[in-house]
Amino acid sequence: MARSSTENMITLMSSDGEEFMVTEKVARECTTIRNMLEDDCVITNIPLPNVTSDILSMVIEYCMEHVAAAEKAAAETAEKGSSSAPAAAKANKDLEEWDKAFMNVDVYTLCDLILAANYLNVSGLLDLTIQTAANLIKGKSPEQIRKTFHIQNDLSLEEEEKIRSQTPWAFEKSE
Amino acid sequence: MAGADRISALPEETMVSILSLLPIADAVRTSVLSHSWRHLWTLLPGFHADLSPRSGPIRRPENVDRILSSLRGPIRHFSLNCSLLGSQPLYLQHFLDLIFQKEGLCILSLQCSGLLVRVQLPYFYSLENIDLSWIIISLPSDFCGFKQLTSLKLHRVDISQQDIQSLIDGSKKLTSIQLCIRHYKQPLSLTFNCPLLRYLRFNFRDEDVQGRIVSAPCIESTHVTACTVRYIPRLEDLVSVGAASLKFIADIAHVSHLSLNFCLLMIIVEFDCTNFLLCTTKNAISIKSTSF
Repeated sequence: MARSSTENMITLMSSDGEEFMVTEKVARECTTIRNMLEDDCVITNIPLPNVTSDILSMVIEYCMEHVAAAEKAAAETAEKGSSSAPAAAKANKDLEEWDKAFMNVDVYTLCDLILAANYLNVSGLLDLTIQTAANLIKGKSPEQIRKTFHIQNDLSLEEEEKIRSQTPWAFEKSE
Repeated sequence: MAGADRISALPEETMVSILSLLPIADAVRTSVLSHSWRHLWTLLPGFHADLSPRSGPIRRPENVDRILSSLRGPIRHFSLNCSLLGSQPLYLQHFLDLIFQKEGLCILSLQCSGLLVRVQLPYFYSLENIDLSWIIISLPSDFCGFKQLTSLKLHRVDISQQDIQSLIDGSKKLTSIQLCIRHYKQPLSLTFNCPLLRYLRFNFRDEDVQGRIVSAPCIESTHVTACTVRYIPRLEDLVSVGAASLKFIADIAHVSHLSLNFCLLMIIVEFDCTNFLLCTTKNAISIKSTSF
Protein backbone atom coordinates (compact mmCIF):
# COMPACT_ATOMS: atom_id res chain seq x y z
CA MET A 1 0.00 0.00 0.00
CA ALA A 2 1.61 3.27 -1.13
CA ARG A 3 1.90 5.93 1.55
CA SER A 4 3.04 9.50 1.13
CA SER A 5 6.44 10.05 2.71
CA THR A 6 5.16 13.07 4.64
CA GLU A 7 2.87 10.89 6.74
CA ASN A 8 4.02 10.51 10.33
CA MET A 9 5.14 7.03 11.28
CA ILE A 10 4.72 5.69 14.81
CA THR A 11 6.55 2.76 16.30
CA LEU A 12 4.52 0.46 18.53
CA MET A 13 6.46 -1.91 20.73
CA SER A 14 4.87 -5.15 21.96
CA SER A 15 5.43 -6.72 25.39
CA ASP A 16 8.00 -9.11 23.90
CA GLY A 17 10.02 -6.27 22.39
CA GLU A 18 8.95 -6.47 18.76
CA GLU A 19 8.58 -3.14 16.93
CA PHE A 20 5.80 -2.31 14.49
CA MET A 21 6.00 0.76 12.24
CA VAL A 22 2.56 2.11 11.41
CA THR A 23 1.20 5.36 9.99
CA GLU A 24 -0.19 7.80 12.52
CA LYS A 25 -3.61 7.36 10.93
CA VAL A 26 -3.61 3.62 11.64
CA ALA A 27 -2.29 4.15 15.18
CA ARG A 28 -5.07 6.66 15.83
CA GLU A 29 -7.67 3.91 15.37
CA CYS A 30 -6.67 2.95 18.90
CA THR A 31 -8.29 5.56 21.14
CA THR A 32 -5.71 4.89 23.85
CA ILE A 33 -2.87 5.77 21.44
CA ARG A 34 -4.82 8.70 19.97
CA ASN A 35 -5.10 10.17 23.46
CA MET A 36 -1.35 9.70 24.01
CA LEU A 37 -0.60 11.46 20.70
CA GLU A 38 -2.91 14.32 21.56
CA ASP A 39 -1.30 14.77 24.97
CA ASP A 40 2.22 14.67 23.52
CA CYS A 41 2.42 15.31 19.77
CA VAL A 42 6.17 14.55 19.37
CA ILE A 43 5.90 11.02 20.68
CA THR A 44 6.93 8.46 18.01
CA ASN A 45 7.71 5.37 20.04
CA ILE A 46 4.97 3.78 22.14
CA PRO A 47 5.62 0.74 24.34
CA LEU A 48 2.56 -1.48 24.82
CA PRO A 49 3.52 -3.75 27.73
CA ASN A 50 0.09 -5.46 27.81
CA VAL A 51 0.02 -6.70 24.21
CA THR A 52 2.10 -9.53 22.75
CA SER A 53 3.56 -9.27 19.23
CA ASP A 54 1.22 -11.82 17.62
CA ILE A 55 -1.88 -10.08 19.02
CA LEU A 56 -0.53 -6.59 18.24
CA SER A 57 0.10 -7.58 14.63
CA MET A 58 -3.53 -8.72 14.39
CA VAL A 59 -4.84 -5.47 15.92
CA ILE A 60 -2.72 -3.51 13.41
CA GLU A 61 -4.01 -5.67 10.56
CA TYR A 62 -7.58 -4.89 11.64
CA CYS A 63 -6.92 -1.14 11.94
CA MET A 64 -5.15 -1.00 8.53
CA GLU A 65 -8.01 -2.78 6.81
CA HIS A 66 -10.60 -0.44 8.33
CA VAL A 67 -8.59 2.71 7.61
CA ALA A 68 -8.10 1.56 4.00
CA ALA A 69 -11.84 0.89 3.62
CA ALA A 70 -12.72 4.32 5.01
CA GLU A 71 -10.17 6.01 2.72
CA LYS A 72 -11.49 4.16 -0.31
CA ALA A 73 -15.06 5.22 0.50
CA ALA A 74 -13.97 8.84 0.98
CA ALA A 75 -12.02 8.82 -2.32
CA GLU A 76 -15.04 7.45 -4.20
CA THR A 77 -17.29 10.08 -2.68
CA ALA A 78 -14.84 12.84 -3.67
CA GLU A 79 -14.52 11.46 -7.22
CA LYS A 80 -18.21 11.16 -7.98
CA GLY A 81 -19.35 14.09 -5.91
CA SER A 82 -21.66 11.85 -3.97
CA SER A 83 -21.45 8.29 -2.80
CA SER A 84 -23.48 5.79 -4.74
CA ALA A 85 -25.61 3.70 -2.45
CA PRO A 86 -25.04 0.29 -4.11
CA ALA A 87 -21.26 0.77 -4.13
CA ALA A 88 -21.27 1.79 -0.46
CA ALA A 89 -23.45 -1.20 0.42
CA LYS A 90 -21.05 -3.52 -1.42
CA ALA A 91 -18.03 -1.99 0.33
CA ASN A 92 -19.77 -2.48 3.68
CA LYS A 93 -20.54 -6.07 2.83
CA ASP A 94 -16.93 -6.69 1.77
CA LEU A 95 -15.68 -5.27 5.05
CA GLU A 96 -18.17 -7.43 6.97
CA GLU A 97 -16.91 -10.49 5.11
CA TRP A 98 -13.35 -9.49 5.97
CA ASP A 99 -14.30 -9.10 9.64
CA LYS A 100 -15.95 -12.49 9.61
CA ALA A 101 -12.87 -14.15 8.14
CA PHE A 102 -10.68 -12.23 10.60
CA MET A 103 -12.69 -13.76 13.48
CA ASN A 104 -11.84 -17.28 12.37
CA VAL A 105 -9.50 -17.75 15.36
CA ASP A 106 -9.27 -20.08 18.36
CA VAL A 107 -10.83 -18.99 21.67
CA TYR A 108 -7.46 -18.09 23.24
CA THR A 109 -6.65 -15.67 20.45
CA LEU A 110 -10.21 -14.36 20.65
CA CYS A 111 -9.90 -13.65 24.40
CA ASP A 112 -6.48 -12.02 23.89
CA LEU A 113 -7.94 -9.86 21.12
CA ILE A 114 -10.81 -8.82 23.45
CA LEU A 115 -8.25 -7.82 26.09
CA ALA A 116 -6.11 -5.91 23.57
CA ALA A 117 -9.12 -4.18 21.97
CA ASN A 118 -10.28 -3.22 25.46
CA TYR A 119 -6.84 -1.93 26.52
CA LEU A 120 -6.12 -0.08 23.26
CA ASN A 121 -9.76 1.03 23.05
CA VAL A 122 -10.45 0.00 19.44
CA SER A 123 -14.24 0.16 19.61
CA GLY A 124 -14.93 -1.59 16.28
CA LEU A 125 -12.65 -4.50 17.16
CA LEU A 126 -14.06 -4.73 20.69
CA ASP A 127 -17.63 -4.89 19.35
CA LEU A 128 -16.60 -7.52 16.80
CA THR A 129 -14.77 -9.73 19.30
CA ILE A 130 -17.35 -9.64 22.09
CA GLN A 131 -20.11 -10.36 19.55
CA THR A 132 -18.06 -13.37 18.38
CA ALA A 133 -17.69 -14.55 21.97
CA ALA A 134 -21.45 -14.08 22.56
CA ASN A 135 -22.21 -16.14 19.44
CA LEU A 136 -20.17 -19.00 20.90
CA ILE A 137 -22.36 -18.94 24.04
CA LYS A 138 -25.78 -18.34 22.47
CA GLY A 139 -28.08 -21.36 22.42
CA LYS A 140 -25.45 -23.66 23.96
CA SER A 141 -25.78 -25.85 27.04
CA PRO A 142 -23.50 -25.07 30.01
CA GLU A 143 -21.51 -28.22 29.22
CA GLN A 144 -20.90 -27.09 25.63
CA ILE A 145 -19.84 -23.60 26.78
CA ARG A 146 -17.42 -25.04 29.34
CA LYS A 147 -15.89 -27.22 26.64
CA THR A 148 -15.58 -24.36 24.13
CA PHE A 149 -13.86 -22.01 26.56
CA HIS A 150 -12.09 -24.64 28.72
CA ILE A 151 -13.95 -23.44 31.82
CA GLN A 152 -13.29 -25.61 34.86
CA ASN A 153 -16.53 -26.30 36.73
CA ASP A 154 -15.61 -25.60 40.37
CA LEU A 155 -19.21 -25.84 41.62
CA SER A 156 -20.26 -28.88 43.61
CA LEU A 157 -23.19 -30.93 42.31
CA GLU A 158 -25.36 -29.56 45.13
CA GLU A 159 -24.41 -25.97 44.32
CA GLU A 160 -25.15 -26.47 40.64
CA GLU A 161 -28.52 -28.07 41.41
CA LYS A 162 -29.39 -25.17 43.70
CA ILE A 163 -28.57 -22.58 41.02
CA ARG A 164 -30.57 -24.46 38.41
CA SER A 165 -33.58 -24.73 40.71
CA GLN A 166 -33.60 -20.93 41.17
CA THR A 167 -34.12 -20.30 37.43
CA PRO A 168 -35.38 -23.61 36.01
CA TRP A 169 -36.92 -21.90 32.97
CA ALA A 170 -33.46 -20.88 31.72
CA PHE A 171 -32.34 -24.51 31.51
CA GLU A 172 -35.38 -26.11 29.94
CA LYS A 173 -34.37 -25.79 26.31
CA SER A 174 -30.68 -26.52 26.47
CA GLU A 175 -30.81 -29.82 28.34
CA MET B 1 -1.35 -22.25 26.63
CA ALA B 2 -3.67 -25.12 25.79
CA GLY B 3 -6.51 -25.93 28.18
CA ALA B 4 -6.43 -22.59 30.00
CA ASP B 5 -9.65 -20.74 30.79
CA ARG B 6 -9.01 -17.29 29.30
CA ILE B 7 -12.56 -15.98 29.07
CA SER B 8 -13.18 -16.15 32.84
CA ALA B 9 -10.06 -14.00 33.32
CA LEU B 10 -11.45 -11.10 31.27
CA PRO B 11 -12.33 -7.89 33.15
CA GLU B 12 -15.77 -8.13 34.75
CA GLU B 13 -17.28 -5.29 32.70
CA THR B 14 -16.12 -6.98 29.47
CA MET B 15 -17.76 -10.23 30.48
CA VAL B 16 -20.97 -8.36 31.29
CA SER B 17 -20.80 -6.74 27.82
CA ILE B 18 -20.66 -10.22 26.30
CA LEU B 19 -23.68 -11.35 28.36
CA SER B 20 -25.62 -8.23 27.40
CA LEU B 21 -25.49 -9.36 23.75
CA LEU B 22 -27.31 -12.59 24.63
CA PRO B 23 -31.01 -13.30 25.12
CA ILE B 24 -31.68 -13.16 28.87
CA ALA B 25 -32.16 -16.96 29.17
CA ASP B 26 -28.69 -17.59 27.70
CA ALA B 27 -27.19 -15.02 30.06
CA VAL B 28 -28.88 -16.57 33.12
CA ARG B 29 -27.73 -20.04 32.03
CA THR B 30 -24.07 -19.01 32.38
CA SER B 31 -24.61 -18.91 36.17
CA VAL B 32 -23.81 -22.64 36.42
CA LEU B 33 -20.54 -22.52 34.44
CA SER B 34 -18.35 -21.92 37.50
CA HIS B 35 -18.05 -19.79 40.65
CA SER B 36 -16.72 -16.80 38.73
CA TRP B 37 -19.78 -16.85 36.44
CA ARG B 38 -22.25 -17.48 39.26
CA HIS B 39 -23.49 -13.91 39.76
CA LEU B 40 -22.15 -12.27 36.62
CA TRP B 41 -25.53 -11.94 34.88
CA THR B 42 -26.96 -10.03 37.85
CA LEU B 43 -24.74 -7.11 36.76
CA LEU B 44 -26.63 -6.78 33.46
CA PRO B 45 -27.93 -3.24 32.85
CA GLY B 46 -31.32 -4.45 31.61
CA PHE B 47 -33.04 -7.04 29.46
CA HIS B 48 -35.81 -7.89 27.05
CA ALA B 49 -38.54 -10.29 28.15
CA ASP B 50 -41.09 -11.88 25.88
CA LEU B 51 -44.20 -13.18 27.62
CA SER B 52 -46.32 -13.80 24.55
CA PRO B 53 -47.52 -17.39 24.16
CA ARG B 54 -45.02 -19.87 22.69
CA SER B 55 -42.36 -17.15 22.51
CA GLY B 56 -39.46 -18.11 24.65
CA PRO B 57 -38.35 -19.74 27.84
CA ILE B 58 -39.42 -16.97 30.26
CA ARG B 59 -43.17 -17.41 29.73
CA ARG B 60 -44.40 -16.55 33.22
CA PRO B 61 -44.40 -13.10 34.83
CA GLU B 62 -42.98 -14.66 38.03
CA ASN B 63 -39.77 -15.30 36.08
CA VAL B 64 -39.52 -11.65 35.01
CA ASP B 65 -40.08 -10.71 38.64
CA ARG B 66 -37.24 -13.02 39.67
CA ILE B 67 -34.85 -11.55 37.08
CA LEU B 68 -35.70 -7.98 38.09
CA SER B 69 -35.24 -8.79 41.77
CA SER B 70 -31.89 -10.48 41.09
CA LEU B 71 -30.40 -7.65 39.01
CA ARG B 72 -28.26 -5.47 41.20
CA GLY B 73 -29.06 -2.34 39.22
CA PRO B 74 -29.07 0.33 38.05
CA ILE B 75 -31.47 -0.98 35.41
CA ARG B 76 -30.91 1.12 32.30
CA HIS B 77 -33.24 -0.58 29.84
CA PHE B 78 -36.31 -2.74 30.13
CA SER B 79 -38.37 -4.09 27.29
CA LEU B 80 -41.42 -6.32 27.64
CA ASN B 81 -43.60 -8.04 25.08
CA CYS B 82 -46.74 -9.46 26.54
CA SER B 83 -50.29 -10.45 25.98
CA LEU B 84 -51.25 -10.66 29.61
CA LEU B 85 -54.21 -12.66 30.74
CA GLY B 86 -56.34 -13.03 33.85
CA SER B 87 -54.84 -11.56 36.99
CA GLN B 88 -51.41 -11.09 35.44
CA PRO B 89 -51.82 -7.41 34.44
CA LEU B 90 -51.09 -6.61 38.08
CA TYR B 91 -47.52 -7.70 37.47
CA LEU B 92 -46.81 -4.87 35.08
CA GLN B 93 -47.19 -2.21 37.78
CA HIS B 94 -45.08 -4.36 40.08
CA PHE B 95 -42.31 -4.59 37.44
CA LEU B 96 -42.26 -0.82 36.96
CA ASP B 97 -42.11 -0.21 40.72
CA LEU B 98 -39.21 -2.68 41.06
CA ILE B 99 -37.30 -0.96 38.24
CA PHE B 100 -37.98 2.41 39.83
CA GLN B 101 -36.39 1.20 43.09
CA LYS B 102 -33.22 0.21 41.20
CA GLU B 103 -33.01 3.65 39.53
CA GLY B 104 -31.32 4.66 36.29
CA LEU B 105 -33.94 3.64 33.69
CA CYS B 106 -33.19 5.24 30.29
CA ILE B 107 -35.15 3.09 27.83
CA LEU B 108 -38.62 1.68 28.47
CA SER B 109 -40.54 -0.40 25.95
CA LEU B 110 -43.86 -2.10 26.80
CA GLN B 111 -45.79 -3.83 24.03
CA CYS B 112 -49.01 -5.23 25.46
CA SER B 113 -51.08 -6.50 22.58
CA GLY B 114 -54.57 -7.85 23.09
CA LEU B 115 -55.51 -6.39 26.42
CA LEU B 116 -55.41 -2.86 27.76
CA VAL B 117 -53.47 -2.86 31.01
CA ARG B 118 -53.64 0.07 33.41
CA VAL B 119 -50.38 1.27 34.96
CA GLN B 120 -49.05 4.36 36.64
CA LEU B 121 -45.69 5.33 35.25
CA PRO B 122 -43.28 5.99 38.14
CA TYR B 123 -41.17 9.15 38.01
CA PHE B 124 -38.20 7.71 36.07
CA TYR B 125 -35.95 10.76 36.24
CA SER B 126 -33.36 9.58 33.71
CA LEU B 127 -35.80 8.25 31.10
CA GLU B 128 -34.67 9.03 27.53
CA ASN B 129 -36.84 6.82 25.38
CA ILE B 130 -40.45 5.63 25.87
CA ASP B 131 -42.15 3.19 23.52
CA LEU B 132 -45.55 1.93 24.73
CA SER B 133 -48.40 0.19 22.99
CA TRP B 134 -51.85 -1.03 24.03
CA ILE B 135 -51.72 0.28 27.54
CA ILE B 136 -53.60 2.70 29.80
CA ILE B 137 -51.14 4.99 31.55
CA SER B 138 -51.32 7.71 34.16
CA LEU B 139 -48.51 9.87 35.52
CA PRO B 140 -47.54 10.68 39.12
CA SER B 141 -49.46 13.58 40.69
CA ASP B 142 -46.33 15.73 41.06
CA PHE B 143 -45.24 15.05 37.46
CA CYS B 144 -43.56 17.88 35.60
CA GLY B 145 -41.85 16.17 32.66
CA PHE B 146 -39.08 13.67 32.01
CA LYS B 147 -36.15 16.06 31.72
CA GLN B 148 -33.97 13.69 29.67
CA LEU B 149 -36.69 12.33 27.38
CA THR B 150 -35.85 12.61 23.67
CA SER B 151 -38.18 10.06 22.08
CA LEU B 152 -41.84 9.47 22.90
CA LYS B 153 -43.82 6.81 21.09
CA LEU B 154 -47.34 5.95 22.21
CA HIS B 155 -49.29 3.49 20.08
CA ARG B 156 -52.93 2.85 20.98
CA VAL B 157 -52.28 4.25 24.42
CA ASP B 158 -55.07 5.58 26.61
CA ILE B 159 -53.93 8.63 28.56
CA SER B 160 -55.76 11.64 29.99
CA GLN B 161 -55.58 15.04 28.29
CA GLN B 162 -53.82 16.52 31.31
CA ASP B 163 -51.20 13.76 31.47
CA ILE B 164 -50.29 13.72 27.79
CA GLN B 165 -50.13 17.51 27.72
CA SER B 166 -47.84 17.70 30.77
CA LEU B 167 -45.69 14.93 29.26
CA ILE B 168 -45.21 16.98 26.08
CA ASP B 169 -44.84 20.32 27.88
CA GLY B 170 -42.47 19.12 30.60
CA SER B 171 -40.10 17.08 28.44
CA LYS B 172 -38.21 19.87 26.70
CA LYS B 173 -35.53 17.64 25.13
CA LEU B 174 -38.04 15.76 22.96
CA THR B 175 -36.82 15.39 19.37
CA SER B 176 -39.29 12.75 18.23
CA ILE B 177 -42.98 12.31 19.08
CA GLN B 178 -45.19 9.56 17.65
CA LEU B 179 -48.73 9.53 18.96
CA CYS B 180 -51.65 7.29 18.28
CA ILE B 181 -53.83 7.86 21.31
CA ARG B 182 -57.08 6.24 22.31
CA HIS B 183 -59.33 8.66 24.05
CA TYR B 184 -62.95 7.68 23.91
CA LYS B 185 -64.34 9.61 26.83
CA GLN B 186 -63.88 13.20 25.73
CA PRO B 187 -62.42 15.25 22.91
CA LEU B 188 -58.66 15.63 23.10
CA SER B 189 -56.89 18.84 22.21
CA LEU B 190 -53.09 18.94 22.28
CA THR B 191 -50.62 21.74 21.78
CA PHE B 192 -46.99 21.19 20.88
CA ASN B 193 -44.48 23.65 22.28
CA CYS B 194 -41.25 21.73 21.77
CA PRO B 195 -37.99 23.63 21.23
CA LEU B 196 -36.00 20.61 19.94
CA LEU B 197 -38.73 18.63 18.18
CA ARG B 198 -37.67 17.39 14.73
CA TYR B 199 -40.12 14.63 13.99
CA LEU B 200 -43.84 14.50 14.72
CA ARG B 201 -46.18 11.70 13.72
CA PHE B 202 -49.77 12.17 14.75
CA ASN B 203 -52.45 9.61 14.05
CA PHE B 204 -56.13 10.37 14.35
CA ARG B 205 -58.42 7.43 14.62
CA ASP B 206 -62.07 7.52 15.47
CA GLU B 207 -61.57 9.99 18.29
CA ASP B 208 -62.16 13.70 18.24
CA VAL B 209 -58.55 14.80 18.46
CA GLN B 210 -57.00 18.17 17.71
CA GLY B 211 -53.35 19.00 17.53
CA ARG B 212 -51.81 22.44 17.25
CA ILE B 213 -48.13 23.25 16.88
CA VAL B 214 -47.52 26.39 18.96
CA SER B 215 -43.77 26.37 18.57
CA ALA B 216 -41.41 23.78 17.14
CA PRO B 217 -38.57 25.68 15.45
CA CYS B 218 -36.50 22.55 14.68
CA ILE B 219 -39.29 20.51 13.11
CA GLU B 220 -38.34 18.77 9.86
CA SER B 221 -40.99 16.21 9.29
CA THR B 222 -44.64 15.85 10.21
CA HIS B 223 -46.86 12.96 9.36
CA VAL B 224 -50.57 13.38 9.92
CA THR B 225 -52.77 10.36 9.50
CA ALA B 226 -56.52 10.21 9.87
CA CYS B 227 -58.60 7.18 9.17
CA THR B 228 -62.02 8.34 10.18
CA VAL B 229 -64.09 7.11 7.27
CA ARG B 230 -64.04 3.48 8.27
CA TYR B 231 -65.04 4.20 11.83
CA ILE B 232 -67.56 7.03 11.63
CA PRO B 233 -70.25 6.56 9.04
CA ARG B 234 -72.30 9.59 10.12
CA LEU B 235 -71.53 12.66 8.07
CA GLU B 236 -71.68 15.24 10.88
CA ASP B 237 -68.97 13.33 12.78
CA LEU B 238 -66.87 13.24 9.68
CA VAL B 239 -67.18 17.00 9.37
CA SER B 240 -65.95 17.59 12.90
CA VAL B 241 -62.97 15.24 12.60
CA GLY B 242 -62.17 16.61 9.17
CA ALA B 243 -62.16 20.09 10.59
CA ALA B 244 -59.89 19.02 13.42
CA SER B 245 -57.46 17.53 10.94
CA LEU B 246 -57.49 20.67 8.85
CA LYS B 247 -56.91 22.85 11.88
CA PHE B 248 -53.84 20.75 12.61
CA ILE B 249 -52.56 21.24 9.10
CA ALA B 250 -53.13 24.99 9.28
CA ASP B 251 -50.57 25.23 12.05
CA ILE B 252 -47.69 23.53 10.27
CA ALA B 253 -46.99 26.11 7.60
CA HIS B 254 -43.23 25.95 8.20
CA VAL B 255 -42.94 22.19 7.82
CA SER B 256 -40.74 21.09 4.92
CA HIS B 257 -41.81 17.45 4.59
CA LEU B 258 -45.46 16.62 5.02
CA SER B 259 -46.97 13.20 4.65
CA LEU B 260 -50.73 12.78 4.57
CA ASN B 261 -52.60 9.58 4.15
CA PHE B 262 -55.35 8.91 1.71
CA CYS B 263 -58.39 9.24 3.98
CA LEU B 264 -57.35 12.66 5.17
CA LEU B 265 -56.90 13.84 1.60
CA MET B 266 -60.36 12.55 0.82
CA ILE B 267 -61.80 14.69 3.58
CA ILE B 268 -59.97 17.70 2.23
CA VAL B 269 -61.16 17.11 -1.30
CA GLU B 270 -64.68 16.47 -0.13
CA PHE B 271 -64.89 19.84 1.58
CA ASP B 272 -63.07 21.63 -1.21
CA CYS B 273 -60.11 22.59 0.90
CA THR B 274 -57.31 21.75 -1.54
CA ASN B 275 -56.42 25.41 -2.02
CA PHE B 276 -56.35 25.81 1.72
CA LEU B 277 -53.87 22.94 2.02
CA LEU B 278 -51.61 24.37 -0.68
CA CYS B 279 -51.36 27.82 0.85
CA THR B 280 -50.91 26.32 4.32
CA THR B 281 -47.86 24.31 3.36
CA LYS B 282 -46.09 26.88 1.22
CA ASN B 283 -42.69 25.98 2.69
CA ALA B 284 -43.07 22.31 1.92
CA ILE B 285 -40.32 20.66 -0.11
CA SER B 286 -42.19 17.41 -0.36
CA ILE B 287 -45.81 16.46 0.17
CA LYS B 288 -46.47 12.78 0.11
CA SER B 289 -49.88 11.20 0.10
CA THR B 290 -50.33 7.54 0.88
CA SER B 291 -53.30 5.29 0.54
CA PHE B 292 -53.97 2.29 2.73
